[in-house]
Amino acid sequence: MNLPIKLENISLDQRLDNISVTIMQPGITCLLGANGAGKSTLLLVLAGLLKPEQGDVHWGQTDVYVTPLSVLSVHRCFVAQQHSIQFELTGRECLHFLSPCQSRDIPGELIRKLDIADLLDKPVSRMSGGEWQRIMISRALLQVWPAIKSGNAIIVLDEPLQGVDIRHQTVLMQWLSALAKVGNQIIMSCHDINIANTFADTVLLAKAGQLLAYGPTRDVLNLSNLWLTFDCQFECLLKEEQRHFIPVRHATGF
Amino acid sequence: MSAPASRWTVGALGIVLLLCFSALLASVWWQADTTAETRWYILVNLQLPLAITATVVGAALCVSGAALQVVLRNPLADPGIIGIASGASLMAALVLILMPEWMVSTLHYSMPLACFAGALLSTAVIYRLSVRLRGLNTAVILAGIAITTLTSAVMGWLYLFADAQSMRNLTFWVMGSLHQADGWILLWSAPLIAGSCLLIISKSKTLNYLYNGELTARSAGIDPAHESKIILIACALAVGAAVAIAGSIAFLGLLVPHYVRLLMGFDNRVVLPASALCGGVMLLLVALFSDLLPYASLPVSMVTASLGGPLLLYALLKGQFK
Repeated sequence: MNLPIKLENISLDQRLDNISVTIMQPGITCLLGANGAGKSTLLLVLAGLLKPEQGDVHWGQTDVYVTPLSVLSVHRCFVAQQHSIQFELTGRECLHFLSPCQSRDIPGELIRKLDIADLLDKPVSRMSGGEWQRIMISRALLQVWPAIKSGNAIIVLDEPLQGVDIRHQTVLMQWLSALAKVGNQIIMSCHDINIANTFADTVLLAKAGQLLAYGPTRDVLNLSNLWLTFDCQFECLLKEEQRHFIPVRHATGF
Repeated sequence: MSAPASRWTVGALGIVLLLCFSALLASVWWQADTTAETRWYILVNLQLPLAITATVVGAALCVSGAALQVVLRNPLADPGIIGIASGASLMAALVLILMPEWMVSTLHYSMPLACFAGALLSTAVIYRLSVRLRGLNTAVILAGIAITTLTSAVMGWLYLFADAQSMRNLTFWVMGSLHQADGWILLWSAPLIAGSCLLIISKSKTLNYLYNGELTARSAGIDPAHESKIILIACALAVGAAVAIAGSIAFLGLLVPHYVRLLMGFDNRVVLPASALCGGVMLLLVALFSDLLPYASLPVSMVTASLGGPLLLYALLKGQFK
């Protein structure tokens, strides 16, 4: 088992400042913060892809930065915020060539949940931003598919919903919730507070390279924490016991 | 293209290569007015080195081109365009012109070493620039243009001070020729090229990861910086050896992998061996064509540039390069 995920005194190049956090339970952890808060850097460090100047990262008993990448990649996948590809690969070629399982069949469940059947033979240059994002998420999940099926995967997603339409966002988040319920650890950043509120089990709030709060979504997502994180006022609407956060329109702007 | 179809196509390309190789050797028998003894002499001392040179140089340039395009994330990368071959040619030219007379007997050793040094040096410059200017797709090409321009300028100065024999030798480096290599040079350079090409082909799965850049490759479990360095050094060795035996040959490393990808898809496990075989076939055909001409042997670069220039323009007009 890869839990708990433990970050101790992580500092890096003025982007992360002495961050310590332990993610104990499997589930969806959502990382929220303003632009430049250090979300992407923190996800890279946590995923074992960017060595911090100071501090340690452990997944269970595994010391991430002394373990070979090839070993980590069996359990951990990562979706970056920006992708660019200079060649005219099709969706199928992206899925096959960019992961270690270059001859693995693409599971039907993956094709259905991310709705990529029509994208498999489409060249990348003709895909929209959201379609390309769904292909890159599929690529990452295909990489750790056996680990996902045994409930032992760490799925790190940097703004996975960027460019994805609302229907596909909802289907994806519901599926990720189901994957989290069987033991997989999903850590993602996003800018939609209501998505975090609806689907995340725990929330991390980051600001200026520091961690403001971490805990169960219901406890951490409140108006004062949101004000501290985003310097922006929200109001909370209650509908059928479900909270909805709406930014307050500022009379004078900022 | 499906995996079995790709395997069949690579196999068929191998057979075409063998046929071209045999045809080039057999062309000795088309020559009239020669005795069997002379034909045998021509076969062993001229045609066999020519056929081996064409095969290994074509393979070296095309495999290196295909690998460089992925490592530098630029479909326009080619050992000639990005300046690796120019660096090797410049060092060869410097050795040719500046070497004192008493050292001429060491040319067999010093020339390849100079080519490697030139190729490695320009590869290092290109690699540093591509790392520093990450994300700027045109940076590698611009760096290559800068290196090639500088090389041309230095060659121009060398022409100015060279004697008649040195000028002829320099022309060989600039235009490329398959007829200069002798058995001794081939004895070490052909295995070196074969080894470098096999090393690059063995990294084809790694090159597949690198299509989407370093981060995806790292998350898939490989160390892209380390792997890129190994592949680049193998490319520099292959291109350095190719320039040492055949001079600078333009366009082959750009166009062959490009058209192989258009026809056979992007799987480097297919693209790299297919490019090697197609490169060998292309240069064998050039040699065969050159042999059939009654006048003189053609400078290879002249033929490859005459074919490659229009094909590159066509590819650009069709929007095949982003």
